[in-house]
Order: sequence, then structure tokens, then C-alpha cells
Amino acid sequence: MSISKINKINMKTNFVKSILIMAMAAGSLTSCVNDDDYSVPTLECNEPSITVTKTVQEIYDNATATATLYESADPSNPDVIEAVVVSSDKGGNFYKSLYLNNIVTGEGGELYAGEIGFSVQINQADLFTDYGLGRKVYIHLDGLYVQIRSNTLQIGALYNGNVGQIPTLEYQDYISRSCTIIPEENLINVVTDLTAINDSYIGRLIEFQGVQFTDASLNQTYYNLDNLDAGGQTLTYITNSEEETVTVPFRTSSFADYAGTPVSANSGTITGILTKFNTTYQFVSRYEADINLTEERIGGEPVDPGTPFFTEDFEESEHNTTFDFDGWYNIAEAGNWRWTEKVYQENGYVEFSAFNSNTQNVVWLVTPAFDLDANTNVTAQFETAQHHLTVDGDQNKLEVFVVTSFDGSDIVNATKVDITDQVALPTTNTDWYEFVNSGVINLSAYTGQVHIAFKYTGDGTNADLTGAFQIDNLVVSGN
Amino acid sequence: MKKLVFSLLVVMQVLVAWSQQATSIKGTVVDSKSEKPLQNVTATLEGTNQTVLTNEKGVFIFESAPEGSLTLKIATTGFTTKVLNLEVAEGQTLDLGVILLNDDITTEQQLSLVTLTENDLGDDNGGSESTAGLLQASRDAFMQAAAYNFGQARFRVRGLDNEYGKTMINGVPMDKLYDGRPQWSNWGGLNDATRNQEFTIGSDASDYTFGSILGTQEINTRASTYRPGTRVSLSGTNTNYSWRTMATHASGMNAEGWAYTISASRRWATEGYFEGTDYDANSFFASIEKKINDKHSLNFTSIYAQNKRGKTSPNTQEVTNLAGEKYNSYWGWQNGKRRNSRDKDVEEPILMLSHYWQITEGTSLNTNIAYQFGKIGNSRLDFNYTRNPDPTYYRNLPSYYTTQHAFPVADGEAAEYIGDSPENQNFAALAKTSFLANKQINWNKLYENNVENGESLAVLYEDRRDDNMFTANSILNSHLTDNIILNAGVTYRKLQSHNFQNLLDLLGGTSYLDIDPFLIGDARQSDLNNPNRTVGVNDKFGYNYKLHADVVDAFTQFKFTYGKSEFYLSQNFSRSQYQREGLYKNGNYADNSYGKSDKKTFNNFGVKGGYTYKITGRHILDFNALYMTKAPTLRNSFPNARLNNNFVEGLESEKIMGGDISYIIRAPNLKARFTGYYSKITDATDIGFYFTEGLGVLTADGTRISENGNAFVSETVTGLDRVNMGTELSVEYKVTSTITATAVAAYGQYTYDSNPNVKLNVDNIRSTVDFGRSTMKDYKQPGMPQQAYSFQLEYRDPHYWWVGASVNYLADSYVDISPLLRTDNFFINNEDIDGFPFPEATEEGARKLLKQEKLDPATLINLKGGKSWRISYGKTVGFFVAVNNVFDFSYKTGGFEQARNANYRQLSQDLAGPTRSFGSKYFYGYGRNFFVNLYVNF
Repeated sequence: MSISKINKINMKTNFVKSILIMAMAAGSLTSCVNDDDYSVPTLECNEPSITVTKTVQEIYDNATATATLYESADPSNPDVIEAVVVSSDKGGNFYKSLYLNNIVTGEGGELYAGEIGFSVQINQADLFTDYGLGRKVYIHLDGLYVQIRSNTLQIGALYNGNVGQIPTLEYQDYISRSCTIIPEENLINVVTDLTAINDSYIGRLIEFQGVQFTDASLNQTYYNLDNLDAGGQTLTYITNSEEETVTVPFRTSSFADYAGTPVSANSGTITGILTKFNTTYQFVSRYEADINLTEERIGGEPVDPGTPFFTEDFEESEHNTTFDFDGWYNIAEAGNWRWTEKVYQENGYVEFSAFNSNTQNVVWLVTPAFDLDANTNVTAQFETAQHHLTVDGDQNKLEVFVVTSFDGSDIVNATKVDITDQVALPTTNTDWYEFVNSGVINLSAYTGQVHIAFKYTGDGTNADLTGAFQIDNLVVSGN
Repeated sequence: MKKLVFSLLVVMQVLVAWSQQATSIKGTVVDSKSEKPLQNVTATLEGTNQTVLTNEKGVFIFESAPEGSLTLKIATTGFTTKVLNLEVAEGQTLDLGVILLNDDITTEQQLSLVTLTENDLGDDNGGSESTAGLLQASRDAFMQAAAYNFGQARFRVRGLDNEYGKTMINGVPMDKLYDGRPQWSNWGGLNDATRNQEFTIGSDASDYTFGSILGTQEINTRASTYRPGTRVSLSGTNTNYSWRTMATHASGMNAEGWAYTISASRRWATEGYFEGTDYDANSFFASIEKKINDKHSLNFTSIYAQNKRGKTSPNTQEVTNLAGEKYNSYWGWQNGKRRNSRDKDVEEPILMLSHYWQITEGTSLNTNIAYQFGKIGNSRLDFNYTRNPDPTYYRNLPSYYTTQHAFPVADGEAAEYIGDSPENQNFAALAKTSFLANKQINWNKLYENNVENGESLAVLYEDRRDDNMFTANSILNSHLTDNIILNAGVTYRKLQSHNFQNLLDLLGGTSYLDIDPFLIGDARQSDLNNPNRTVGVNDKFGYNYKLHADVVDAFTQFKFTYGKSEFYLSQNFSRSQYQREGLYKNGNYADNSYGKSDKKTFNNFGVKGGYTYKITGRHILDFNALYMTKAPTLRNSFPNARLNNNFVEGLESEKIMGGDISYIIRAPNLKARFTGYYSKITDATDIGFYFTEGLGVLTADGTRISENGNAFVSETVTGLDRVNMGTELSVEYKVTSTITATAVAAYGQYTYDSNPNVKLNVDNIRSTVDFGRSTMKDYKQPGMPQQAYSFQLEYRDPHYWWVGASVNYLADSYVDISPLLRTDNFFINNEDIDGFPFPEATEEGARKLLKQEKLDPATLINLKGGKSWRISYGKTVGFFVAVNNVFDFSYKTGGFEQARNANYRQLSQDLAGPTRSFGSKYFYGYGRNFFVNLYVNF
């Protein structure tokens, strides 16, 4: 054997030996480290042993319009109610609030949401991760306040004299989770007739069948920055007929997961919670999946705005003169003041402000007549703005009417239809002087000579009721 | 017979031999303990350019040495250097006989250092890494202290970031084009295999690169340069890992011209020093060399170091007061195991083929081709559809309640402080109880919610960077004359860096919807080409793009040696080209996110020089000066690389100017260095990401960033200048032959020297907003002590054991300031329609609010020692022990201001209570910690 061969063999054995040493050094002690392979934790639910002592009905019956601290008759045996969660803030449209129903048992022992809806406000986001849809919960009432507000039973902590949010660090002490989850189909109430809606549906999960959004609600996104109500949310309208005789306002916040989605023109089902704001119902969907519009539109495709046959941009206005455009009517029903022509930064418009009038004002602005027989599928749009509006109430407001029979002077007794509900108008929440588009107003249901009338109401004797309204850019279109 | 003078540097025995005929010097170098001859030891005749290596029998020969007084230096890694002063007469052959080299058992401490360099707590907050890694094997007393004693407190030499140093393996640059810093984990744990290193300090000349102003480190992995033998070691520590095993074998060159070195190590911990920090690292190294003939050699090096570890959170003072210094909010229990949500996972193998060509006796050319690939992943939770799972989320802490203010009253007036109301006091107490009971991540809750919901609300993902880097370079070293050496090199690097979010775990859910739910409409889509996509494990989502970089770098350097003077002159040219390629069409940036961006090219140059004057052999003066320009890193070129193709507006190369002057004493019993240095870096760019509150009216047309002024932003700071100056002093004095005393002092002043421009890129308004100047001038640079002092005593017993103790004092460390807080925006009332300043704002108040926090000084006592035994011929065993911070001194190593309170009012409100809600977050140093290493060499 040559020396080089011996060398080679030595080298080889050394090499093998050293590989073995490496293996020993590196490989032998691998067991004692986290391998970063984690199995799904065993998710056991332990039903809390809580005895229900009261029903939701009993709490509802005893609640009044005044927020009242709940005190159990026997403090050593504190009162508890059970309820099921029917709302969800998962989609962002609900925020820091829960709607719950009482629980009823069916014949086969299955659980259903009952007929009393109530709400709980909690200072916490993503509540669905604590109290998800269908979750049965126990509410420990002692220490909480109870009140009927907006026709709804509310339970929570006290805030400025009313029921408000339960603090972040306390809500879990008041509301305990059960392991029971009631399936969604047992929570839903199907409604096919919109006229059937009444206060008994408030706070409950409702599925409207055979509905669609009104024509005026279309051509925008569900949340529309240019169309916000006093709460900073967008109201669109649900209807169940081409005539749109019954409408239910549909509320969408900027945080809703479908906020940026265009309003669907189809018909189908819409699911959500019915709420009531002052005197009007508002329907609130939980997330995009609640808007299930896949059928053809009732009454066919919505009206094409068509081509304009009447426009008025008020550019001829002379600043601070009484409005006197040809063919228009400017009528004071109460007070002496009438609509005024205005020019600001080269933009003309008309305005009425009750400020310094020292009296009550009800003032009409009526358009020239439009011939709805010569034009078909007629729609109208305009823009309005406000400034110094401090209340969204009946004493200081702008209303919009379709006038079907008018003698040219007696607007009060003229035949007219109030379409204020179908029109987007500025509110106290809108920035001053910011013009809001009305949305497309469908006039195809009317015939003959028709006017549009704007009615201003305000009171110069009360500084809170002197808010001004401005009107600009009226466009009437048809085919 | 001539007299041989030798120095008393260490316990040394020198055999005296004497002359015969020609002027030549030879000797045989042997390990004093194992009695084995030592191969590849360098013998240098100082001041002559003559260096030879010992052969496999340990023999070196200088064939034609000059006559007269000569200084012979014999040095090799792991042994104490021996310096011999010789008098050689013409025609003499001086045989020095057997020269015994002593094991430098203190080099064992190099093995303990890795625990410090990997501690990159500040991943998201770049630049908080200490420079210890760069310095570990330097023999300079100052650098040793900087590495071993100051490193744990994040000391940085001359206050400079690693970006201004250069680390190479076989001359191939290892700094990442992304941030200019080396990724130490790429060869972590391979301490034995990376022991052959050469250093330069400051801008001093290196044979391999032009470098910069911090210094250079060259790691040599050529197989034949390792001393043959095998070494196995086992270590225990309580720092970032608990255990380490390591084994290395080097074959030496055989008769057929083959040599190989292999090494492997494993490091692990179930929980390191900080809570919930697990550690798992395996490293392998192989280098094989074939000597083709006397002129040509080929070497192939492969390094595979895989490292996975859990990170620890920086915490506010409030959190630390509640939960302790070791508290880490990133982990939680899952099925009885600690699970960390923020793992760092590095796996970037290096393959390198090197060709060594000895063209002539005095000229050699080293050519390398290297390829590095793999991935770096930093994991975290994404929780788009649920609450923030961070236990230290500000709403979970008492300070949220104790800093409460009443709702703002009319006309932009300041709000009333109500944090001390009984209600808020009560909530604060509840929050404290609740936090202490829930201070770790609740994995079960995340799983429960995902399972109940079906689609995941929160997932675990990693920010991935998959780099493919190709490097080719050639380095020439030529002795042009006896007095002149030429170094030259050219390097080409091509990088493709693929960056994306990679889903790791659905946490019990079935899929995850890839949109940004905080935006509206199309803007929500991460990829308009695939809208509303749901993703699963190992799917990419969120962002997805590639960065392309091409960099060419060339340098030449001439070194001159004339008698007592040595000087050098170097010049450098580089060209860098960057481009982004978007793979997603982001909904927020539909027209500039998909496809390729423009290319941006930077041409840069540099020139440097230095002069060394030996007053006598023992007194030396040294000067160095450098001017260069440097391309911005990839990281700092794109303000929002994750989402769009934009380059930073007005992006410029940095200008670097620096120099130092040293006086050096090298007497037998006294070694000292006194250095003064100055550097100025201008036109730097810096980019950071964070969430902010309280931004005022912003864009030119008066659009607000958001209703409440809250926004997630990327902050681009341009035109930032830094000045670093100071002095370094080290004195090493041999008190007796066995006791050495070392004193080291660093006094620096590192400040910002300009008022840079601050721009925010804000996604929700899709624009970049210019905030103008930030008054940062004269604030201190953060993240390192600007003063450091050390005194160390070391005893080395002739019987192979030693002990050392040091006391160290570190001071003047500052918290990182937020540039945005120092812009005019700070005074603008975001609640005022006209954007008027806050009525309550005063200059005095602002001064107080914006004062930079100085961290408390630290006093650290360190002990170390070791012993080794010879078992039989060629076999030794030994151990090394270090106990650092013996008195368990608690100290912060750094911190940063949170920019969340971006204006006067919000910052004042945050300070109104007893503890801040958005106070600075801090990093802590290790308390008492140890490192024990047992080793066998055979």
C-alpha cells in the first residue's frame, strides 16, 4: 500500500469518526425543546352553575322610562335572567351593543328566541368574541340599571341619567356565558309583510322576504359620505313593492363590512335587528351576508334617470334679494319673510334662515309645473345644505312634497304627497354649508302637471330653532 | 555569537541558537501543553512585509531576512502571541529551535460572547445591536473590553452602527444589502470553525475591502488553515440559550493535497433569561480544500446555520413595575407549553467556492463565487377581525384610566384631568388585577373564537424575507517592491429578495380573509387581481413583493513601508441599482403597486489614507482619515415597500467623513493606546413604521389624516446628520509575570447634527404628508452608552489556570427620540378647525415634554476563569467559567419613545397621571448570568 493510500484510508476513517462526533454533538439532545408544533387546545366548556330567578318579561314589566337601579328582593339570592344573543358586531355595523331575546322552549325541548328583545351596551369592541350569535347568557342584575328607552328595554350602567355602557372591566362580571348556543334558524323571525312591523319586533332578529331597496336608495354605496344622518350613518330604504308604499329605513355605519359596497338593485331577503330611533324604525343588518338579494328587481330595472328637461342652478341669483325667479312660487305661510337669493364664492342658491325674524316661520318654495304626461319615467334630484341647525326636530326642518294640484297661491291646501322620507337632507351632523345630494327621486308614479315644494319650518324667537336651509341644482329628467 | 533579546510578554521559554552562514531565520513552533507541532502559525518580521506560515511539522523559515534589529511576531488563533526581539548579523542563520506557544485559555471567552450578539431585541427598532460580534477576536485591549465587558450593555465602538463596519467570509461581504448589517445567525454556533479572523479598527487598511469607519472583520474558512485535531465542547448558560454542544474536526493537509474541516453545534433552551424565550439552533459547517499544485488551490465552504427562537418584548415602565424585568408579553400557555407569538426563524445557507492562485512569490489572487439563499421569518399575530390579543394593549393597563381626561370642552380648550376621580381610580385598580391575572397571550381564547366563528379572526403569520444572493469577487494581493504592497478587489453582488406575509397557523379556524377591514371599498383589497381571497396555512397574503439589487464595488490600495514610516492610500468606487417588483395590486395603491418600479442607481466613491510613524519600536503614532459616499440601504429606499413602488422622495447617498489619531505604546510590560476620533455622517435616510394619534391638519388642501388624527404611518426621515467624536484609552500593565491589570475608558459624544425632514406615508389617505423639519439637532444618538470605563485584573497561573475580575461603569445612554414629535405638528391643535396651536402650549412646557430621557448608569462586575489539563500526548481537557453582572445590577440597555402621542396636548395628557400610558419602551440587560464551557481537544 502506498503512503498516499494509507493516508486516504486514515482520512476516510477520520472523516467517518468525525461525522459521528458531529452527529452526537448536534443530534442527540433534540427532545427537550419546544418544537413549535402546537396542537389545537382542548376547548372544554364548563357550564356555570347559575340559577335563573327572573324572566325577561318580569324585568320588562317593571321597567319604566326612568333608569332605575336593579335591587334583588333578597340580596343573598341575587336575581339572574337568561337570554340569547341575536345581534353581532362581527361585521362592524353594531358597535359596543348587544341585542338579546328571552328564551322559549319548543315542544321537542329545542330552544328558540322569544318575543321580547332588549339591548345591553358595553364599553368593548368585538363583543361577538365574548357573546357570539345564539350564545345563551346569564345576566346578574344587581348593580345594573333598567330603563325603557326608544320603546326598548335597556339594561346597563348609569350614564348621564340614562342607561349606558357597562364598563370594560366589569361587563364579564355581569354577563356570564352558558355553553349553550342556539342555532340561527331558531333566532330568526320571518316577515313578508312590511306593514306588519310594529314595536313588538324591536330588538329581534328579523328576515324580510321579498324586499328590495327603494329607487332613491340606489346608485350609492350602503355607507355614503354624502348622505349621512344625525348619527353619522347612512339611511337607505327597504321596500317590498314597485310603488314603494311602505318603506323601512336601513342603517349602515362606516365600520360595516359592506359599507363600501354599492346598494344592490336586486330583490330577496334582508336580515337584521329592528331598532327604533325616536319615532322611526331603523333596520340594522349585522354583516354583508345578511343582505341576500339575488332575485330580479320587483317591477323590473330601476328607473333610468333619463335626460334632463328642467334644470335650475340659481346662478342668476342677486345676493340678498327676495327670490323671484320666473315660474317659481315663494310663499310665506307663517311670518313675513320669504326665501332669499344668495351668492357665495360665485355660486348662486336660495336660502331661508329664521335668524332675527323674531317670529315663527313656515315658508314654501314651489317649482314651476312639470308635465309628466309629456315626459315619462321622470326623476328629480337637487342639493340642500344647512347652517346653524342645532336640532333635528319638527320645529326647525325642511320638508319636501310632490304637489299634484296647485292653484298658484294656496299651497297650504294644495294636494301634495310628503316625500321627505325618500330624500337625503342635511342634518345637524352635516357640516355647515355642505350641499347634500337628495338622491334620485322617482316621479314616474305621478301624472299631469306636478310641482315640487320645499317647506321650511323655523322660529326666530328661539335661537335653537333658527337653522337655515339652502337649495341648489335642481334637475328633473325623463325620457 | 550574537545576543538574543526576548520579551517577557508571557511565561515563555526560548531556546537560544546561533549563527552559521546565510541571513536566514528558522524555528519550530510547538504547543506547550500538548507538545504537538503547530501548523499554520504566522511568523512575521515586523516592518519588513515578510510573513511565513509554519508547515505541518511546525517549522517556519525566513530565507532572506534583513540584518540588524528585528522584531519577530509569532501568532495564531487560540494561543498567546509571542514577540521576540532579535539581533541578526549578515550571513547568519539563526535557528530559534523549538518555540513553545501557550494556549491562550482566555480565548475561551470568545465562545461566551455569541450570547450577546444574537440578542437582537430591537428587530423592529433597528440599530440596537451592539458591535460586540465584530470585535470578539480582536486582540486590542480596548476592543476586548468593548466586546466582553461593555457588549452586554450594548456598547457600540465609536457609537457606530454595524452598518459602518464590514464583515466578510473569505473576502466575500456578508452584510445584507437590505440594512447593511451582517446577520450573525448565519454562522452562529460555529465558533470553532470561524475562529480564524483578521480585524482592522476604524478606517484602517484591510487587505480585503475598502471598508468604512467602524472596522472590518475577515473570517477565513480555508480548510488547510485550521490546525489539525478534534475538539468537543459542552456549555451551559442562562442567557438566551441554556445548552450548547459543539464538535469540530480539522484534518490538516494530506500528501495528496486534500484538507477538510467540519463542525457542528446545537444550542437550545426551553426558556432563556427572559420569560417565554425558547431557543433552538443547529449549525453545520464543512470546508474542503484541494491543493492542485503549488500555485492553485480550490476550497469549497458550506455553512448551514438554522436558528429559531422566541423574542422578548420591550416594555413600558408601567408594565415592568407590574410584571418585572423578565416579563415578556409575547408568549402564552397552550396545552401546558409556553408558546411565543414572535419567533425569529433564520435559515440562510452559504455555499462558497474559492480559488487561491499564487501567481508569483509576491502576488496572489483569491477569487470567490458565493451563493446564499434561504429565509428569515419573524412571526406575529394578525388579528384583523378581533380584539388586540396583546396583554399590554394600552386599554388593559391601569394607566389608561389614570390618564383619562374629560371630553374636550368648546373651542379647542384643554380638557380637564379626571384620571384621579374615584371612578377611574377604581377602574385602575381593577385593570391592575385583571392585567396581573391575564398577562400572557390567551391562546385558548384565540382558538375558541376561531373555532366558534369558522373563519379565523386571528392567525399567526410570519413576515418573510427570502433572499437569493449571488456574489462573485476577486482580491489581489501583490508585493510590488520590498516597500510597496498593492491590494485590489472587485465584487459583484446580485440580490433578489422576496418579501411576503406567510400564514403559519389558522389557530383552529378554517381560513382567513385577506382584506384590510379598516378600509372601505376597493382599498380593502391586498391584491385587486385576486379580490376577497381566503388563505390557508403556507399561503402568502397581505403584501408580496420582490426587491432587486445589483451592486458592483471595486477598490485599490497601496501600502508603503519605509523605515519608521508606514502609510497607505485607498480608493473605492461602487454602483448600486435598486428596483421593486410588486406581485400584488394593492387596493389602496392600484396604479403603483403591481409590476416593476423605476430603477434607481447610486454611484459612490471613497478615498482614505493613513500614516503610522514608529518613533521607536515602542512608541507609535497612527493617523487615519476617510471620506466616502454610501448608497442608502434597500430598507431605507422605499417608504412603503410593502404596499407600493414609490422611492423615498429626494433619496440621496450618505456622505461619511471620519478620522482618528492614536498614540500607541508597546513596551514589554506596558501596552497602551490613546485614540481620538471624529466622524460625521450626513444625508442619512431612516424609515420607521408605527401607529400614531393626534396628527393635526395635514395635507395642502387641509384634509385631515383621519377624523380623530389616528393613523398607521410609515415615517421617512431624510437629511439626517450624525456627529460622533470621542476618545478611547486602554492601558494594559503587567504587574508581575502572572498578574495583568487593564484599564479601559471610552468617552464619546454622539449627537444628531441636523434638523431632518419628516414625511409620513399614510395609507388611509393614500398620500405622503410633509411635516417639514424636525428639530433633532443636538439630541443624543440613542441605544448605547456614550461613556464606558473598565478596570480588570487577571491572574494567569503557570499551571494552566487563570482568573479575572473586572468592574465596569457605563453611562450616558439615551432613549431613541421620535422625529415626528419634534416637528411643528406637535403644536397644531388637531381639534381646531383652523389648525391653530394649542392655547395651553408654551415653549417651556414643550421643552420639558420633549427632553430626551437619559438612562441610569450601570455598574457591572464580571468574573471569569478557566483551567486546562493535559491528559496524554496531544489531548487536553479544560473548562471556562464566566459570571457576569455578579451583583445582579438592574439596568436598561436602551429604549425608544412611542410616537403615539404626536402632539402637545396628548403628550401632556399622557403625563398627567402617575404613570404614562404611552411612555417609552425599554430593553433590559441580563441580571446575574453565567457561562460554563467544558472542552476536550484531541
